[in-house]
Amino acid sequence: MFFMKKLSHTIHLHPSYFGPKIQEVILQKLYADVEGTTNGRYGYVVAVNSIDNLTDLQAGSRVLYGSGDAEFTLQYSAIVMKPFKGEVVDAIVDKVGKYIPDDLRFQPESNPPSFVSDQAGESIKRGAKVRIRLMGIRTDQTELFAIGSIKGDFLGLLDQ
Amino acid sequence: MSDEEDDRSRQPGTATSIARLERDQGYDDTDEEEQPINTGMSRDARREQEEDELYSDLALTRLLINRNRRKRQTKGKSRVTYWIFDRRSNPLRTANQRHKRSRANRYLDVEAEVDDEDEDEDEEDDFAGAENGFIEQDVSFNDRPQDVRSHRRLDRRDAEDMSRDAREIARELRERYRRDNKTYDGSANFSDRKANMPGPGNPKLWQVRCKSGTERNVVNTILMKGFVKAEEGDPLLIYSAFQRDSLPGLVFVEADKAQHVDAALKGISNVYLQTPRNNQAKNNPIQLVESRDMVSLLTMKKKVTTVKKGMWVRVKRGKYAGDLAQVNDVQPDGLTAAVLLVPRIDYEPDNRSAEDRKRKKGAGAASLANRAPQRLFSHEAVQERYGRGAAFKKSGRWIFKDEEYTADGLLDKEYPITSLQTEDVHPTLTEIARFGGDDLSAIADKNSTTSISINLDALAEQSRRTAGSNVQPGDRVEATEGELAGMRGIVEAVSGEVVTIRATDSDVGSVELAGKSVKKIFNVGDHVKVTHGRNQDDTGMVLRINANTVTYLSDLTQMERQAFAHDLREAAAVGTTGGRIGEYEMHDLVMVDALTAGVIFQTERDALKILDQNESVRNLRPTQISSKVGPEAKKAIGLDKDDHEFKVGDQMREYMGEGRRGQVLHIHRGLYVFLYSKDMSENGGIFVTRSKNLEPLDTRPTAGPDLSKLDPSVNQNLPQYVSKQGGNYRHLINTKVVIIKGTNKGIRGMIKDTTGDKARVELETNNKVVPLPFGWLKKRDPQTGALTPLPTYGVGQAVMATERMDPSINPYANAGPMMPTPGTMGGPTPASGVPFGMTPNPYAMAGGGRTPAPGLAYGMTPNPYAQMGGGKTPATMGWGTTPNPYAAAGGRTPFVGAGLGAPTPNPYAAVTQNWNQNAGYGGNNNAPAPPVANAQAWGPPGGAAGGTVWNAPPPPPAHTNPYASGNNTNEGW
Repeated sequence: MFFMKKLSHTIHLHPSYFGPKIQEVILQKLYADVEGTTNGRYGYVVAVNSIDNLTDLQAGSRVLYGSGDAEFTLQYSAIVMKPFKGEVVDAIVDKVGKYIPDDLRFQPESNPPSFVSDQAGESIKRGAKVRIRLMGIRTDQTELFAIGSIKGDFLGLLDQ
Repeated sequence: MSDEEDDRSRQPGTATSIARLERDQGYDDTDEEEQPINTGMSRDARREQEEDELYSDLALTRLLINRNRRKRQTKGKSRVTYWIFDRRSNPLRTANQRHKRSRANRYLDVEAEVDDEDEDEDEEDDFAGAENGFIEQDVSFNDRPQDVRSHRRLDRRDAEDMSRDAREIARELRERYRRDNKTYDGSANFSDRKANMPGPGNPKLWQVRCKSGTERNVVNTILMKGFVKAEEGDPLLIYSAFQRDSLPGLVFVEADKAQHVDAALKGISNVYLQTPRNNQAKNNPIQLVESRDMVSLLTMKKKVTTVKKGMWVRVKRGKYAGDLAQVNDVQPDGLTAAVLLVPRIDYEPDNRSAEDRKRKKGAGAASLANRAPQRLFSHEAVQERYGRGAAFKKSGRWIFKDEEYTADGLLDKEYPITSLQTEDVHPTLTEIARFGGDDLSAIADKNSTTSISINLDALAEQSRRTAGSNVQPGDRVEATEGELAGMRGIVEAVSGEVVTIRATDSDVGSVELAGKSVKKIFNVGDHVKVTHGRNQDDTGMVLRINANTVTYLSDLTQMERQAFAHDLREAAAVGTTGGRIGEYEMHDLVMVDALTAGVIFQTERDALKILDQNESVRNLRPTQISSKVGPEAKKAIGLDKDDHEFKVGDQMREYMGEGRRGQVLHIHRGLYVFLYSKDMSENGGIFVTRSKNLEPLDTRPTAGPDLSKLDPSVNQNLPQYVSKQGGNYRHLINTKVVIIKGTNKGIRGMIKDTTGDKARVELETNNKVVPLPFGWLKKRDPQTGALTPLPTYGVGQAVMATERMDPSINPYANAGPMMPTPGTMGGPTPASGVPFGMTPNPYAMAGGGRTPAPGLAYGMTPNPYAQMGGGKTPATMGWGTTPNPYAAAGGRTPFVGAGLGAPTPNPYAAVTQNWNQNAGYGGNNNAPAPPVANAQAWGPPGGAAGGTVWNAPPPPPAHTNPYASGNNTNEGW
């Protein structure tokens, strides 16, 4: 499920970046740092939507002793994707393994390997769109794993 | 109370498989009138009892003394030899005295039950007589009037019984004993138990030492003595004697007084009735057993095992002792079972010497050792050895030597269940494999078709039973037995064998169940951890659930694996690193031998699977690994196909070949790169390739500049502070100069020494030596007196560098120490007195046609770029003095290729670091992309030519342009 989530991120900036482009530098750093990463708690950060304290950045920032670096804490809203157990999601097949659903046959010879249904012409192969129900989620600090099932009504291969 | 009842009550759940005394024919004759009933009943009753009391393991052999019956035999062996007799009764009494026989005998020996006249009374007693202890007190019995009526009643009942069907009687009996069984179901807290505890009025139990190993004989001897003494009219005054295998060297005798025991044991060998001399404390060899210990002495562990088809058992005795067998069929009487065995047919009878065969007769152990190996029945082999017709086929089965073999070659043999070991079987996979002819997969395939199916469920069930359900609070379980079978709940508490479960699918609330009657349940998608077995500590997500087995997708290997449900635990949703053996962890880089490195991609209990640099998989124990590569290896840097650096953690793709992509785990010797890909199942997703065969997966810079470091663009404009060492000016020593500034302006002198950027000038006037900056000095031609700037390349360069050159502008400068710079390294500079540090700018040299001492400069400059420029410089003197091989080869040679092409880590890195501060220079050599455009910009026409010779790759991003500074330098000039 997608959420708009308010998050914060701290950036350290070398004094040499202090200047007219400071805001740009900070933003670039923020995007590079958080977009496309997975947070064990909130899920996958799809995109940063807005930065809430951009106009008031200096208020929350400080210069660190010793290094002279500036520390900025950015409050931003991001679109995050967090899967839930039982959630139905649409997905694209990236790899076909060997785990065989009951009503499908595994065809390792085909290229790419695919599951072929007894029903006419249905095959699940790389690139196919499927609708799955998530059966289990495991979140690592930086990774998300989920097991999905296509067993169920309206689940499985989507019409191309 | 009968002894039977007595027995049951004081030995709740005891294994009382009574070795029945077969009624010998002689006796039967004397008791003719009872015979029909007896036989009918006894068989049924026996069967009944066998069924109910299949706690066969700890059988209690009881030798009954029935004085009327002289000939008897015991059947089977057991761990306890136990006999009871009634000293009251006269062994010599006649048939009409039979009514006086003790009830104990009657109930213990089912066959003897009906012929006891006191039946009814006793029965009444049975249910009321809970106050009695072990053996019924005879006093009350003796006092009881022997009524004629009772005889009549018995006769009447006998007649009734006769008229009834034996089956019916059996059922009746079954009912009765079933109830009993239920009542005394072995639970330790049975309420009537207390009432049955031995009281002060009961006989006591005495313990006597005997020679270890002779306990059973001693008990038997006591029995015989009892017979003899009784016949002599001087019966022993003891009630019973027994021994326990678990207590070697001890015999227990039940008697009222110690002296009765003494009398009974006197004269029996191997019994220690003498006080051990050295043991004064135990002065009495006949020790009283405390009443609370009496219970435990006669308590046996209850074991209920039902033999089911498909179950694994072991044969206890005979040729196949210890062999694994699978129950194929259980006879309806529950006494015998047909099992499948891997036969031990002797295919080489001739090879066994006659001695062996002789020995076989004697010692059982020897024959066991010499038995033929396990091998499936082979008709051909049998025919070969035993001749045609030795084995014949009958309805799809082979008959050989009166034994049946299945079509699969297994021996189908019947065994009494008592000679099968049903507990603690623990079949190993190897043993099971033998059933399929050593081919596990074949069995698995045959699973559905043949009679011998590796029933994983049955296996799981069995191991669960033996191991207990292994539940912990919080586990989700399902009840498998009892009224609540099928109920699901969460374990709240576990105490010993009892688990408290809060039901989740019904509102029964919390219930207590035996640990063995629950099984763990999981849902698809659960994250589980394996607690036992080969894949111990593996974690994964549940994919599929069968009755007792669970298929899960391993987190570490992304492979599907199976485990028994009871070997799994629910794990935290967050994966653990896991896969650790000793100091070795998953994905560690280890040295397999001195030259070969490998990465661990799978850990098992005590083995590691390693993919080495040659792409071969090795199975090693931790001890076989020579060393683990330290964390410093993480800093290693490799060069990809375009000679761009990459480091551990980068996402890379194979350039040639399969195009596999993955994250760099390790770089070994800068050459072998181990990558990890989540998408690959092979080798746990690890693969190895050459660094040159890699390209970055994502060409756009993964992250912006490191903002916690100095902004490179700022850097560019910062002055560089090159530390100046006198050495650079040392060639000026003994140069005659004129001071052109300061207080000594106009004074002539000679440079005597140089320190930093100052020269120590010996003034001609007053013989003083004063330190002066080089800028204050001019060279004075001794002949003409003309003044020229100090002919110092070094000085000029130094100044320039001070103003313009900044090595850190060049991002590659940092890489300098890591990168080979053959040009730099290979060319020992003749002007060794001039360190490289002072020749920072090759471009300066290129422009250096104008430098007063270009030749010297070349000599000091190992930089091929410089030579490029140099090639166009007319001052050839430089070449002559330069031992640099590159220089010698001529400016047109693309040394760059040699310099850049080497993917090997710089062996000179450490050396290079020494002049790292000037590495702006060496770094330039390594610049993977000297832009042609720039080359043209900074050099004379030849520079452009050189640029093309290099065949330079595309320019790096502008801000990393190492030549920017070069341009600056030129501008400066």
